[in-house]
Amino acid sequence: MKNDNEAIRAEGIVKRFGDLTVLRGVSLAVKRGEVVCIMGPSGSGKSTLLRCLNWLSPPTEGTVWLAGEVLGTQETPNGTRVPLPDSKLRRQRSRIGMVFQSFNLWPHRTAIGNVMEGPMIVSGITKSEARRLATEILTRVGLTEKADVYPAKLSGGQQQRVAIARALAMQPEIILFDEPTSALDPELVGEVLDVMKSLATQEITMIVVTHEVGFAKDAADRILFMDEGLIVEEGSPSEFLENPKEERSRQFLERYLN
Amino acid sequence: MELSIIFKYAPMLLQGLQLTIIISIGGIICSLALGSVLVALSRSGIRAVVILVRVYTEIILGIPVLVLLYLIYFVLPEVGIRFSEIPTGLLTLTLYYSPYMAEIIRGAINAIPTGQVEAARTVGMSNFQIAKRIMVPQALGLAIPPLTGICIGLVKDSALLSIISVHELAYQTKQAVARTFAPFELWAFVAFCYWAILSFWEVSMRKVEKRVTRYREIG
Repeated sequence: MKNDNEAIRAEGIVKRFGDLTVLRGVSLAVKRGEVVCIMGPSGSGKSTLLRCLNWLSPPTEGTVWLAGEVLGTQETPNGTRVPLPDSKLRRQRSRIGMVFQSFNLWPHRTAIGNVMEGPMIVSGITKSEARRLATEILTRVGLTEKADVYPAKLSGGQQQRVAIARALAMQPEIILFDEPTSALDPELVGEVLDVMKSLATQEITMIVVTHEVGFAKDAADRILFMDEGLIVEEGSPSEFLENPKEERSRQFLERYLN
Repeated sequence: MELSIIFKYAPMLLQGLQLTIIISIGGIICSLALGSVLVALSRSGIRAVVILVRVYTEIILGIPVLVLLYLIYFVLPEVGIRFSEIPTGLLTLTLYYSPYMAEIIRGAINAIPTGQVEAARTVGMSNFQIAKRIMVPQALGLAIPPLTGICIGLVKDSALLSIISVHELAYQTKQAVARTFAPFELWAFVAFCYWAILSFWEVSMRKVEKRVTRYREIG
């Protein structure tokens, strides 16, 4: 399953919560540097899929490979699969960044403190190195002057840009975005999308769950459309947005384009 | 009103005050420790342990501290478990206050949004790192005000230990009053002592709380 050009691959992902089946066998592969947008109605399993891809919520069935390495489980000498020891899982997780709908910044740390935390605590670099790295990354998301401000004093858009910086600071191989602009006031959406677009041009591998058709059109290499726990259609932005093949995609796009 | 009585008996009262402070601090530390253990046990996910903690909590919540003191001091020796006065006092305060401490700690931990913990996991932090760097600093700010209240209750209840002849401040005062027949001066002075110490403590904790929750300020 080794493919040097592949950032992440998932096969046959099934996720059940009790009697409820949220994902019914999802497979996808994302190349390095590729930007993939996942669209679909709410409840279609988009967020759950992202949470399976970084093992926040381990799938019930299926396998995920991170750069060819099986995620979250390991094979025992007698051939059965068992959960990976926590220390190894943590190392894998640190290679997958995540940006949440509700930002999830740590309120007791300043903007730069949020960005420094991972490199300092997980990667183990010194505080001064972490500060230098974090300053550089905050500049990339346009927040140099807010470095020493606590999240409570930042706007939603600024908080989400800090969250993106926090993910970038771990220099992950891929970043997952879970509806990153859905919790924002309309006038703040643009600044976050601008940062994400600039990341897209910097060859950062991204999977973005979003309803922002404009972003998908400009930044995505590929769009996946999910409904009822399955990927029902997949294509380039122009193919999918202008000429969707499936009836369900058409209905969905009609609602979001108008 | 004779203030000279207070001066005359000051060394005796101070001795009592010293023991009150020692027992209070000991009681606070022990009940916080046991409270933390109760929280850890009730989060262990082991059904029998969770139920046991629940039962213990329910029993304690339904018993007056004085009755618990009598149970430990008079009833336990009947079944062969005997402690001297100060350990009995410490044990009573610890057993009685730990479920309250546990409730406060539990509440503070539960008040931290799970999203913050998930964010820490995606960065690759361990459970211990998450507890130390994300949960505890925030839980502290949330827990300080109710903990201060509960600790003040514990300090006040330490006066009950005079009943089993622990030589703390209230006991020493009783002895002094018995010798001088000057209840007004002595009890008024001792009341003032309790009040002054606890008020000072409350104000200090409010300052500490403000300090550790500075990050919440919006303006």
